[in-house]
Amino acid sequence: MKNVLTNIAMVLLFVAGTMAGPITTPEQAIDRVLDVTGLSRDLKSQRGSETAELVTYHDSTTPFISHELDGSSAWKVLVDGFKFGMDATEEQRELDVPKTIEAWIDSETGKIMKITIRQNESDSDLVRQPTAEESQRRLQRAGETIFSLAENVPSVSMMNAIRLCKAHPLTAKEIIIWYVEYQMTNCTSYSKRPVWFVFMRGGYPISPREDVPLYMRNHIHCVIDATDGSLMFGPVNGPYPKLE
Amino acid sequence: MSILKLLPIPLLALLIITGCDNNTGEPDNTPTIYDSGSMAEDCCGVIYYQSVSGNSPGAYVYMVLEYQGRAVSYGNAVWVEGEYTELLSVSSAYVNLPSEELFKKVYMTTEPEDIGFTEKSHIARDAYPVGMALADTGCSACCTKTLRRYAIWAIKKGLDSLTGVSAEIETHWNMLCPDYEQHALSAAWVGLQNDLPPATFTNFVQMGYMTWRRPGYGTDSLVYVEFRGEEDSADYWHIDCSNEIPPPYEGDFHHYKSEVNSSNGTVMFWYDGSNIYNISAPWWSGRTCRYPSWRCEIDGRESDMGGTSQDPLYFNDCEYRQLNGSYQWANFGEIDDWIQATPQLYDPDQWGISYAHHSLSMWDNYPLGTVP
Repeated sequence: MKNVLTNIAMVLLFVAGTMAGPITTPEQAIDRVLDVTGLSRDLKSQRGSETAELVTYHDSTTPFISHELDGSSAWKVLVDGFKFGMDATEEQRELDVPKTIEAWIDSETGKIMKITIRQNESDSDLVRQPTAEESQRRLQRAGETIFSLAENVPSVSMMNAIRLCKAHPLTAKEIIIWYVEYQMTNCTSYSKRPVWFVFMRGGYPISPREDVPLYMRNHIHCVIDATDGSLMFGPVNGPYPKLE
Repeated sequence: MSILKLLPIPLLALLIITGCDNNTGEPDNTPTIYDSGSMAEDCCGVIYYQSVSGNSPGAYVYMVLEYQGRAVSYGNAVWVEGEYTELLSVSSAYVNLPSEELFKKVYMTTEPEDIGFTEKSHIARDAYPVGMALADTGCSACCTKTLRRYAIWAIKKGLDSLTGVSAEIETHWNMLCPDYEQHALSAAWVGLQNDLPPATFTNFVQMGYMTWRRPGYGTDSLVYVEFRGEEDSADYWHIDCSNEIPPPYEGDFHHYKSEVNSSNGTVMFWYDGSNIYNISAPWWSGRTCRYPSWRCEIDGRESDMGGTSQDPLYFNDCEYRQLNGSYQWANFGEIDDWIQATPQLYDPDQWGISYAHHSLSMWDNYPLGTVP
């Protein structure tokens, strides 16, 4: 019950507004990440320490906008010892191993460029991440388009978006999250809007079909409307890399 | 004194087994069976193990139990390449047959779609008797796994150039076998496919619903779509339709339709008349399917299939469409139709199927909670 109330509070805490504006100090960068993700400071038990440093951001994997992001000046924020702490069974709690959050914020605009949540243990079975081109081709086939990084403060936190995804974040070896302006043009179309694009890699597969290679089934994404928390698409497998 | 009596038992066993070798004409990659195997009790029977080794340019190896020349249980296939040693296994669960008439056989094949088709696989070694007692099969608290999933299906054969299939399917959220450490599912779907069961490796388009348990993470009940394209089978899609369709209520009927638009290479899905997804699939441009299929399917032998004999799961208004044609009734019962359940030698009546005109009903005679 406590977690449910926390979740509701976290949703209500976020109100529309712009994130635009330069980030000039490590403290500002950390605060931005904690606010946007939902890891507010009163949830200290869910994470360890945070650090931030100014870096040049290199990107070859963000579909549609990789070339625009590559080479930007960014704050890289590191949060270690993170646990989801979701309502969970005993078995699920065992899966909630410590993870590391890495977030990159454009230092000039303050926009979230990418957030990753990665299990600390390496996994040799995890195949490489698909390139931006590979991902883009896959997304376009279902009518998905990413236009740009989103600017407004999301009404739904990243952690709530992950919960709403109907996938299995605790098992994912890596979760990549983009906060972007997105449009879906399929049978049910959605106009351009800010979304959490949640991409999980290396966890429980989405399909039990064992004659399909695991990497095609354990790369899963879903799209959450960042304004109201609705599930816009998925979970759906892919994008996954084209392996030789 | 015979020299055989001086040999240690394992070596004697080795000689006996290799004495069964039908080496004539077999390729060099034939595996060597180098011990007499072992056994362990499964929750519903016995798992037989067998070590094999050899040098292979690349092939799948698997073991089956056979009774009077028919495969009655399949073990999982293992890919072997180069110098290898593998431990194969096969379970006797629910094979309620006299052990002295059961034989283990090891098969090899290079084609994944031939796995389970013993007539297409190379017999690595002649059969040899199991020679071990089988356990009591009266068990339901497990999830017997085999190479194949179990299914009840209706397939129209003798057709070609198929581009669409549909049916109104009754919703039955079935119970899954109760071993929570095992994957299990129960599903019902309509689909187009380019091969016949049990092979599922080639291309297909399907839509239906499933209950699926992932160990440690609970059970999902959902409507889903799935398809596969491309020559190298590297294009696979599975969409959980949760964003469009909430899980339907038990007992409700909903209309499912899967289509291929071969003129522009698009795969399309409908639910209750609403087109929910169109996915670009260039490989399907200019291509069609060979078989329409209406099917219930389970993973985990004890999971409930379809409905019950008192309350079957119905597929109504079954239709298919061929290229440039309109939808036509399935009209089950034509000479080339294939309507059956996965054969179960020990009990051919475990699962039932009935048909009339354009409807099917499918059921499990021994749903969980009853005694087989």
